[in-house]
Formats: sequence, structure tokens, C-alpha cells
Amino acid sequence: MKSLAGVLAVSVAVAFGSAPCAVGQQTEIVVSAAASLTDVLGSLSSQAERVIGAKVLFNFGGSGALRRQIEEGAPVDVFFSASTEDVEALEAKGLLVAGSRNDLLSNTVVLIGGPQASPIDATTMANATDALRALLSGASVLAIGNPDTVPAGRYAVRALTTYGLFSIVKSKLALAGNVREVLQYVQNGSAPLGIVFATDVLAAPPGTVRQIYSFPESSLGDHPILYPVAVVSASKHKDEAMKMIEFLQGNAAREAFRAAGFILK
Amino acid sequence: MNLLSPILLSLRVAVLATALTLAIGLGLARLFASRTVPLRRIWESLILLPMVFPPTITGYLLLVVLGKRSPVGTLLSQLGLSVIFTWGAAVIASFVVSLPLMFQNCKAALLGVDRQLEDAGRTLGLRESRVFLRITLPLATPGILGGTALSFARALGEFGATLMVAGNIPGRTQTIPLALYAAVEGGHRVEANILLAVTVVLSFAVVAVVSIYERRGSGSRRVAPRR
Repeated sequence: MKSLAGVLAVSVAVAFGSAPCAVGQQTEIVVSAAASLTDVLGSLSSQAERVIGAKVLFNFGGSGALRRQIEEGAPVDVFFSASTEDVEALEAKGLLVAGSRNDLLSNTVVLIGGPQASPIDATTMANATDALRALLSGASVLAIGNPDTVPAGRYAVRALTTYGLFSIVKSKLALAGNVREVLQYVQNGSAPLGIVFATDVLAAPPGTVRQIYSFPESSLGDHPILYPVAVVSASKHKDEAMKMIEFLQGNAAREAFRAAGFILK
Repeated sequence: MNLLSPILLSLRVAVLATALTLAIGLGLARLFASRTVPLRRIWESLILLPMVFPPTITGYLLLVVLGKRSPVGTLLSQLGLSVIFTWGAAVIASFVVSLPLMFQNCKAALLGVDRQLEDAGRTLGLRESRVFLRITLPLATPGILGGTALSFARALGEFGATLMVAGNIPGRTQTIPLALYAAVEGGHRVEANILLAVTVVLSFAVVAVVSIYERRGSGSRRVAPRR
């Protein structure tokens, strides 16, 4: 028992010893951002810190979970969401600074296949519909995100419905827990076809998946894909938070977003 | 992606959370094993709830309890403490989800100790605290160790509740499971594989330490009556 207590004492000491010592009183802002922005924002973080003169901490997660955290008073300064619904819910409760919202980015949903897939080259929606119908009828499985929880899945269902193709695929959908799972299914050949965001295709290792068709924005009806960013009302550093949003609208950020496959609004 | 920071953070969080669960889980187990507590079943069910809940739900409830709008959160913020989005929140999350494992194991271990041995100690004039420290605890050690190993493993792998209350802030609250998830999501295979390897090594280390102590524990049990 004594030696066990010793091991415990040592490990607790190690644990405390490795605790980070308190950093000076530098201003810090927390940016809660959608998981799909992880890589691009990570690459911009040191630049952002230089421009706004404050330490920038990113908190990445699903937009719904990030919204819950803000509702419960988590110390967040900027909310960069992948869904308008979550931003609108917070706006309705007065939890976002009025007028600070900016619908910064957009994305497209695309049909993807394995490396051997050939792109559909269609100029009109009617041409595309025929080609898509042939392709989807012949496929065994179509992977999409679960439309109840995954925005990309919701958009996929909307686009397919607009094209009148949802009834064809309804019985052969493989529902994934998130959009990157869809990408995995197609990458490793578990599913011949899948629907993901254009930005996900760029994140896949080169040569593993091929974009077959990009659904036009008109196929999504009244719900375009938007990534709004806004300042949180409870923020104690609103100046820095505003500067962060300005930085995200600036040239350096726009370049990075474009390279990652986002569409700038 | 900095890999050292999630590894150190995970170790710190898991060790502290395990120390906390050991102290509180063993204390609660002794309380429930040694006397009749009113409304015992209700208390026990409450302790066990996090095992039944999906971790995200546990995390959400913790977020509500610790958040600024709750009495607890208000009290904390009056004390100048903000728990949400700190690594302390990760310790709390790991503590809550691993407490049921520790509690159940410790309780079973304490109940498994032969009452006659404890009574023998009492007839020889040992006070209750000494009976517990000298007789009950050494005999229950293998079970307690098992609970400790399970709790540590559970704390090390904690994901859902941590994500809600500590957030996923790289370099600050991003533990190994969160970093692993981010690496897989982002298609960073090398980082993901390294983190996976570290997790496997840590798991093996825990199992090894526990089995060493279990062997020693069973050894001392054989010697004990002769003392």
C-alpha cells in the first residue's frame, strides 16, 4: 500500500509539474468555429494574432454543440458557424452582437466517386439529371451524412429532391455520422458514390476520390450553404473580436479560404 | 499539429481525475458498504447515471450545471472562477464519467472482505479506522486497483463530455482523443497514427502496473495472518 501511495504521489506531482505556468496578462479571445474550418483557421492563427494583437484560441466542434456552449455562458468571443440555423437561434436570444454578423463563406455539395469515376459534363440541369439518374440507378450504395444531424446530408437530400432523384436512392443510402465519414467510405471503396462538400474533396489524399458532379446553388432552394461569423454579446473583448472578423474578411484569409475550396461571399 | 501538448494534457487530466475518483469513489464505497444510508438505491443510481448516459449528454448536463446561468456557475463566477473551457473542466468531465467504475469496483471489493477477519481485529482492540486501514483496505486492494485501472482508462479515453465542457481548443484543452478525432477528420494520417500508438502504449503501461501490484497484493495477503 505504501508504495502504491508513493506511485500516486509521484504521478500527481508529475501532473502538476507539467501544468502550464500562467501566461502574462495578454488578451485572449476564443473563437468557436465549425469543425470543417479546423485546417484553414489553424493555418491562419499566428497571422491573426499578429494583426489583432491578441492571442487567438480556436474551439472546434459541431455548430450545434458550439451553440449550446454559448447559450450556457461559455467564454466565447467569436462564433464562426457552418449553419445559419444555429446563428439565428442565438440572434433570437440576443446572444450575438446585433449587426456583427457576416455571412462570410459558402460551399457546394458534390457527388464523388472512386479514382476511376468520370465527371458528368452537363451544361443544363436536364442533361445532368439524365446522367445522374443513370449513375445512381446503377450504383449499389450512396453514402451521405445522416440528414437529421449532418448539414451536408441535409443539403444532399435537398439537392437530390430538387432533381427528382431522391426516390431512386432512398433505399440504398448509407448514412454516416459526419461528412468526413462519407469521404472515408468512398476513399476506401466501401461506397461507390457519396455526397460531400467541395472542401472535403480537397482534404482527401490526392488520387483517392474524384468529383463527379457539383450541385448548383439553385438546387438547394431557399437554404444556401452559408458560414456566418458574429461577435458574441457576452464577450469581454469585443474590439479584438471585431478585429478578428475584419481579419477573416481580409485578403490573407480570403486567399486561404479560396485555396481550401470555400466560395467567398 | 503539435502532438506533445495533447499527450501531456491527457496524462495530467487522467492522473488527476483518477486520483480524485480514487479518493471520492473509495470514500463513497466505504460509506455505502459499511452502513445503511437512507435512500441508498437513489444515491447509487445517481452515481451510476453517467455510465448509462451517452457522454455527450453527461457533458451537456455538466455544461448546464457549471454554466453561468446555474446557481453553481453563478457562485463560481462570483469567486472569479470560470471552469468552462479550462483543462480543469476536462478533469471534472473525466471524474464524473469514471466515478461509477471506481465506485462499483471499490464497493464490491469492500463487501468481499471477510467480516470475521474485521471482527477478529475488533476483538483485539483495534479502533474502526485501524480496522479499515490495516485489515479491510489491504484485503480489498486488488479490487480497488482494478477500479483504478478502469477509471484511468476511461478518463484517458474521455471524449464526449470533455468536448462539451472543456471545448476542443488546440494547445489548451485538446486531449489525445480530441486531437485524434481532429487528425482523422482532417485526413492527417501520420499524426493520427502517432496518437493512436501513444494511446496503445499508455494502455499497456496501465495494465502492466496494475498486474504488478495485483501480484504483490495477493502476496501480502498470504503473509498477512502471520503478522
